[in-house]
Amino acid sequence: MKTHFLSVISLLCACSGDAMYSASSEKAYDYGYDNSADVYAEPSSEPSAGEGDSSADDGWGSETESDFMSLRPATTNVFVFVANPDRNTVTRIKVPELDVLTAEVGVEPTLVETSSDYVRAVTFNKGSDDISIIDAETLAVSDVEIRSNLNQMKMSPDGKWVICYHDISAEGGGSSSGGAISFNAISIVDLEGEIHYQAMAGAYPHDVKFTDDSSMAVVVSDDYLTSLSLVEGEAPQTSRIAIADDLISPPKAEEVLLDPEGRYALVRQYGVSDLVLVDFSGDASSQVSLIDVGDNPTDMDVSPSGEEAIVVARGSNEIWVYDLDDPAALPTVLPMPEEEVFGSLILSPDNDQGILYSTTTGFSRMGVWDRDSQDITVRGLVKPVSGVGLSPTGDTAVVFHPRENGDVAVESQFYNQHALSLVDMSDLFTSAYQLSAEPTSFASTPDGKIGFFILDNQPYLELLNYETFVPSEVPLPSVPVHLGTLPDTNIAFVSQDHNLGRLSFFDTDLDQLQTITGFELNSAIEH
Amino acid sequence: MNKFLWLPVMGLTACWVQDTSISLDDNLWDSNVVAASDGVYVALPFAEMLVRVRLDSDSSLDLAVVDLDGARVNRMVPTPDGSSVLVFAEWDECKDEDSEIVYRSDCPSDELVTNSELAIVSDAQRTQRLEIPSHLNTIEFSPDNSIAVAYLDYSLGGEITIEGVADLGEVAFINLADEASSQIRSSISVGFSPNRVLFGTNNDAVVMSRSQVVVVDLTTFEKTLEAPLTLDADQQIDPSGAELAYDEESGASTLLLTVQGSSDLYMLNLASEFWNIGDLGAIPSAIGVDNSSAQSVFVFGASSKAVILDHASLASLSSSSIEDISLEEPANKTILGSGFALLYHDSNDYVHDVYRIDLDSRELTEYVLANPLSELQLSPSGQYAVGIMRPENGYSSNLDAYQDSRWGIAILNTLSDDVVSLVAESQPIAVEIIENQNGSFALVLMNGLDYLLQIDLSQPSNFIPVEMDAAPLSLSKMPADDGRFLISHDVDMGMVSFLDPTTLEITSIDGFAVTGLLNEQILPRRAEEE
Repeated sequence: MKTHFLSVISLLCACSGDAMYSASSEKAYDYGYDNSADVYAEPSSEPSAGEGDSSADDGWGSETESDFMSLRPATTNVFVFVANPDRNTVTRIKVPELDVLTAEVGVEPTLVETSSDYVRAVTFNKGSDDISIIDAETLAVSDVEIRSNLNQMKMSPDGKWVICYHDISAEGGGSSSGGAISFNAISIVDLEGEIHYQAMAGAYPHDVKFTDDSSMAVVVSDDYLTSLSLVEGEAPQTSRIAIADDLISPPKAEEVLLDPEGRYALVRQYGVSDLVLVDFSGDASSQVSLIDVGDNPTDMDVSPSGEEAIVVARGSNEIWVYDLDDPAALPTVLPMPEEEVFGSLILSPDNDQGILYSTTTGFSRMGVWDRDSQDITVRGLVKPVSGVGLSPTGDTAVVFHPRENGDVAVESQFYNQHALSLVDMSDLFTSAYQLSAEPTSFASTPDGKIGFFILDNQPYLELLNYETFVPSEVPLPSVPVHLGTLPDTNIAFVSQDHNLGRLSFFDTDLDQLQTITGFELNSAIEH
Repeated sequence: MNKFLWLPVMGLTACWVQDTSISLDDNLWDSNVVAASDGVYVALPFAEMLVRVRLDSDSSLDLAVVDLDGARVNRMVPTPDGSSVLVFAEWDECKDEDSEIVYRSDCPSDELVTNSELAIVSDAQRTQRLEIPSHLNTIEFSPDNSIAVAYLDYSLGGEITIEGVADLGEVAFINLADEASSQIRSSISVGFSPNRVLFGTNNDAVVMSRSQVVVVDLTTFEKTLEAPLTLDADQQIDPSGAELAYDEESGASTLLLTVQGSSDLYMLNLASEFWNIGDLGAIPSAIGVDNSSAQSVFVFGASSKAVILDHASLASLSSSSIEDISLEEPANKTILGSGFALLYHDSNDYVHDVYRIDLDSRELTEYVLANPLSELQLSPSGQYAVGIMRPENGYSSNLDAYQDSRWGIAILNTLSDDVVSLVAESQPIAVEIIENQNGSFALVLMNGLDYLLQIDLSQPSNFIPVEMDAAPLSLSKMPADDGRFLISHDVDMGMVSFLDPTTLEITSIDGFAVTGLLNEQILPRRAEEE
């Protein structure tokens, strides 16, 4: 059987193999948490506006994955690029030497991405409505103007294209000078030719996905998928495909799987009982079809091998497994425990196990799905779940708990506290830790031995030993903002709040923290 | 010296002798004499002259008047090798060209202007004259003595005289090696209030001023780098201290810069031009750099700790590279010896401790002195440190109270860790340390006493008084290989002595201050001469 590796359009970094995680409690409870009452909302029989038909909606609301992590540094094999929106610069740190260079880019660079071949970095400059294309080696900068009122940027896998759009759910709006303001116009930039193209996507686009060869991209909106053919030197050809019958109040398109070869896309919508299959090879009349799924699919993941799509149908308490080589073929359906409500799934890197949980119900429970036996073992947790991550080896699960209590008793040590649990996936041994603040970023070393996270407004780098489960922390010089790990190393980097720029690097091999501060001054050095 | 002096003068005429007196309201000579390799230069403020004095072959006075073309001396700075003396001078110019005007008193006051200049003097000759703003009050010399850098250090005080407009950020570079060069003097503006100049390893100078650092190529005298200390134009960052740290392993020089009122340490790698800023945890008061061990020592006048930084770790400070060493009492100064640092406090009435930190082992040795220090110096070998102790208002009694209330000399042996606190008869005004084949000695001058003490540092209670003809005012070393010490004395007519530290023989010359006493300086007419 031919193996396809599909991309998952998801704001969730907690999917298999991802080493970055970011959570936001504000986002997490947009749907299911009543802040005023400090309790989780009871399931509603009425569907939310734009959230599908009431028969499929179980009333718990959307499962939440993660918040968008703006200003996240971008890495190559030897460089870390950090955008500095207050200074209109981007800083490049060479690893392991920690040599720092700063280059001036456009106004208010809020995003930076690096190409997979490590040749270039690109900043999205929200304040000047342009992007800066930076030669990773020489730091030579070229600016390309784009449309106004955009706030997001995605780079193609080959690093030759970026697509910028306006995501209304992302933090910060784009800039606009007035006149007719569009929220679905997008900018497409050929990075090698430094050519800007414009196109219109569906209403309120909220993500972009590329095929592996970068010859095609899809822009996701609730009502339309907009496909773009990307050929160097040519204006992108645009095709809009309606993915909802109800174009007045379409169900929210929460996730899209795009076939790496661009043959089809699978769209998961909220509050329905079907997946939308978009066939890009067919003629217009046969492009969109529906395939069965259980009620209210709330999560869709691709197996690590790329052979299967696995959908959690929370409304019908089922797991649906699709063969991605033929997504229209009859799926395998597995029941979940009747008394449980699980809406999210994370698979181990070896595909042996999956963790089932819900971020909306307020239940302090998780299920461990053994993929060989298909058994689901339910375990209790100290608090409800706000997010789950897995160590790169899949041996340890990291479960984040919100401060909100759900079904937690008042007497619990974790009542009204943020918390975190480590779960040994071999025997499901669980260890819980009370946290002083909300975790805002999470990463692991590539060898899977150490996990890192940072807490909101706390000047510490928290360490999790995945083998011993013993936590520790490293004092930081200032409050952390973002956390990541450097490719091919056991070094974590933490960007911090400092008006002249500050980054700390923690080498787990040497147990040593190194900090560089003031690199923003480098950009002001004159000769 | 007396400020007022009635001086009897024997005026000779052709046929009779008249006994008369003149009133002096200025010193005849400035006891801040300058020792150069060719002799001792003495400014005569009353006569508005500069003379060089030395001993001739029969040990009598050899006096030469230096022709400054009508200029009078404000200040003198010898080059470190003693080859020449930089004389900051000023001269009066009468804009009224009436030939009847000969003396300053003849010139109408509204026509009289004062000009500033810098004269370079050697062998009792003015070899070069440079126009230089009078407010440039500080001179630094490059390590090879080929370049002198003059700038205004406002913290030194003094009056700033402005003729027209003045650039307070001006730094003047003077090429001493090639006085014939067209670029003998170049000036650049480095920013507001320059306060420190360091010389790098690449024939460049690093100049610190408010909120920026400037690197100047000493060949072209052009700025090669301007590095701001802040990105906020409204923010003022005033450097308080600066040193260059060299890391032999990487070959990199890093500027260590402390700033006023902050615990931040700014570090600029001059090779890669990267900034890094570290937090020392307290406001540092002094930096000591030991390039042989590639370590720097920071002390904190108001915090009882020291910090040692490894030069190889400056690019990325971490908890492991910032090493706090706890002290019982704070220190605000540090002196580096071979493999160790001495830490002390010279401005705290309650600190009696001196510390020695071994830079290899980090071992801390505490020396407790009888009284607080006002200064401390280390012998060339590093075995001894000698300090001047000042009286303190203690609550002790008996003998402790006696010692507390008096000046003293402290002697520390860094090998045996012995400390001796000696009580001085009066305030020590100068200390010099000599080490020769006979041992290690401190030469101590005390206020109002006409003898000098030679203290054997290996046996501090063993001292020899060396009688002098008059009470001393200052003690300094003669330049280069001379080996002798120069002592100026509190004698109105002028007196300096040369001390041979080996034989303790003192030779004096005096009377030079009356030179030109009766000569009124003629106003220079430089414009006409040109």
